[in-house]
Amino acid sequence: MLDSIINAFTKGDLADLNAKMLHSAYWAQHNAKLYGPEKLNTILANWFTLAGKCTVLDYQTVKHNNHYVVHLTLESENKNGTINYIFWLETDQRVIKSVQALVDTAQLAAASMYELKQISDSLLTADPLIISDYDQQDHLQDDIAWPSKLIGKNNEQAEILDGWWAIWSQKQLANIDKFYNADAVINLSSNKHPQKKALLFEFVLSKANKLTRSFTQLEDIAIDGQQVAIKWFLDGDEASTKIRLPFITLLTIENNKITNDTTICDILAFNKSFPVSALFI
Amino acid sequence: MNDKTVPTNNVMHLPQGEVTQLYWKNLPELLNPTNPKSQLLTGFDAEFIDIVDYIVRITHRIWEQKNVGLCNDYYAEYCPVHTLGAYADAVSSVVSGTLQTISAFPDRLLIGENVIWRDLGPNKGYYSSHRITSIMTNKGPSEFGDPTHKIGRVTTIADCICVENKIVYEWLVRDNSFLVKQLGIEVLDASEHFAKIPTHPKFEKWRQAEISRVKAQKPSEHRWKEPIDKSAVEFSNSWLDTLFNQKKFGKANTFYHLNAKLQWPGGRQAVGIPSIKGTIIQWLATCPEAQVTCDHVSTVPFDQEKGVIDIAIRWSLTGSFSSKDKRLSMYCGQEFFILGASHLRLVDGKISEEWTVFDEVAAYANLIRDFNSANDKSGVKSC
Repeated sequence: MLDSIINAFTKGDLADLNAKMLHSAYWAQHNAKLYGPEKLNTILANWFTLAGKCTVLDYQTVKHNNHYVVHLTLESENKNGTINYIFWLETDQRVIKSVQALVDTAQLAAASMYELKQISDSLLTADPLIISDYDQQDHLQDDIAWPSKLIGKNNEQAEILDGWWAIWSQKQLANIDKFYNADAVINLSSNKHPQKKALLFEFVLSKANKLTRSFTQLEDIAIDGQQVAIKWFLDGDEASTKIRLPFITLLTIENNKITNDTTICDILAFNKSFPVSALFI
Repeated sequence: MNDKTVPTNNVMHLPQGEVTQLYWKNLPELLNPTNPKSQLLTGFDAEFIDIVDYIVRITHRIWEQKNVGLCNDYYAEYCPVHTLGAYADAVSSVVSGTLQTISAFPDRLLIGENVIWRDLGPNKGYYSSHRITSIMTNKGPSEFGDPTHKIGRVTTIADCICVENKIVYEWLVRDNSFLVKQLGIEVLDASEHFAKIPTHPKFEKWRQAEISRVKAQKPSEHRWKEPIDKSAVEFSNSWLDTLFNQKKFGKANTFYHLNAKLQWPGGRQAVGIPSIKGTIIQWLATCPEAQVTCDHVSTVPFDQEKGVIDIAIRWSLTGSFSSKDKRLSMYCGQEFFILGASHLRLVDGKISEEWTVFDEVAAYANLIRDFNSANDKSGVKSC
C-alpha cells in the first residue's frame, strides 16, 4: 500500500493504486467525496498541476485493524519547503475501501508557483454540508468521546492520549508541558518547517480565542506501538456561522512523552467552505 | 410500540452462511460469482446464487448496461412502487421512469453499498434493502428542472419484495435535497418544480392513508410471520420510539457509540452523540409533534466474529409542519409526511454508523401541492 501511494503521488503511477481501489471505494479530500473510476485521476491531476513532481523526504505509517494511515513528508522540485500529506485508508491489506486524505494546502501554496487564489479555485468543490446546531455541553451525561473511552482505559497509551486530548477539547494548555518531551518536534499546518512545542500553545490558543461554543469530536484512533493516528474535528461558532475543521494528528510516544506531533488540517479548503471565517487570519 | 423496550447488547448472531456480502468485494467478482448457490431462491433464474447476487446483477444490467427493457423481466407486470413524490404500479411505468432518469443522467453509476435482506418464508420470496451511491451528470431535463450539466452524488435506499425472479413491490427513497444542492438548485426551487408534475391518482390516496395509519400508530399492512432476530427488531422499534416519538434525546447514548457517524439528507453530517442529538432535534423541530412507525426491519450479520450486524429499517413519520424558515413558514400547520429508510451498523449492540435517507424535495413538494389545492378556490398560490 505504501509503495502504491508513493509511486502514485511522486511518479504519477496510478495503475497500481487504482488496481487496489474497490469499485465502491471513495476518496475524500478537500471536504469532498469522490466516487467512480475517475476519482484518482482527478486527485492526481490536481496534485501534479499544483505541486509538480515531489520527492519523499520522510514517511510514517500506522496500521491498526482495518485502518492504515500513511503520512508522507514531500518536497517539491524547487525545494521551497515541505508538504505534509496524510492518507487514512480503510483496507483489508488487499484492497482499499476508502481513503480520507488531508493535504496541508497552506504548505502546498508556499511550495507552489501558483497564487493562493488559483490553488483555492482549483480545489474540489466541497460536498453540501449541514452542521446542525447542538449543545456542546455534556451535562454529566458521559456522552463525550475521550481517547480512553474509545481504546479502553487499560490501553497503555490511554492516559497520555487523554492528556493530549484535554489540550484541544478543554484548552488545558498546561498539558503541553506535562505530556510533551522538552524537545518534541511539532508539525502544524502552514509551517514550512518543524517547530518547537511553544508553537502548539499559540496554535491552540489562537483557535480557542476565535470561536465560541467550540467542541472537538474524536472520529477514529489507530495505535501501532509508539505511533498513534487520530482523526478528529473542531466545531465552533464564528458569530452566526457554525464551522467545522477536520484534523488528522499523528503522535509518536516514547517513554510516556509525546516526542513528535504532526497535526494537519486543510486550510485552503476550509477557507473555501467558510469564506467569512477569520480562523486563519 | 413498547416504550419499555430497551436496546440490548445481546445481539443474536444469525447464520451468515455464504450469502454474498458487498463490502469488500470488487465489481468483477460480484458480476461473476463463483460460489455455489447459498439460498433456495425458488422460482428465480438458476444463474443467481442468492438474493444479494440477484439484486446486484439485475441493477447493473438495467442501469449501467442500459438494458432498460429488462425491467419487463425483473419486475412483475403489476408492481406497486412507492416514493414520497409519486406512485406507479405498471411495469411500463418502471420502464419509462428508468428511461427518463437515464436520459437526464446518462452516465449514472450505481455503486452498491449494502444489501440487507430477509427471507420471507417458503414461497413468499425475499425482502431486500439496497443502499446505493449514485454519481451522475445532469445532461437533460429532470424532475428538478432544466439540465445543469453538473455532477451530483446521491444516496438511495430501494426496499424490494422479490418473488420468483421478479420484484413485486418496492419502496424507493432518495436523498434528493443533497443531489439538487450539488446541481446548483435551491431545494425549495426543486420542490416547486416537482410540485407541478401531476401525480398518479393512487398516490394521494396512499399518502393520506399512510398519514392516518401513522397517526393511529398502526403497523404497516406488509408484515411477515417468518421470524428474524428479535433483538434487532426490539432495537429498531426502541430507537425510533425513544428518539422520534418520545423525544428522549438524553437516551441517545444507549443507542449510539461515542464516535458514531451519521449521514442524514441534504448533507447533514454528524459524529458523536452531541451532534447526532443536534441533527435529530433540529430536524424534528420542523415537525415537533411527529409520530413515527417502524414499518419493516431486516438484519444480517456483517462480521460475526466481532459482533457487528447491519439493520435496515423502513419507517414512516407524520405530524403538523412547523418550520421557522421564511419560505416554508406558509405551510405551517399542514400535514407533513416522510417515507424514510435507515441502514444501521451495530457494533456490540450500539450504532457505529447510520445512513438515513428520505426525500426532502418531495416532502416539501407535497406541502406545496396541498397548499395550492386548499387555496385553489381563493386563487392563492405558493409559487
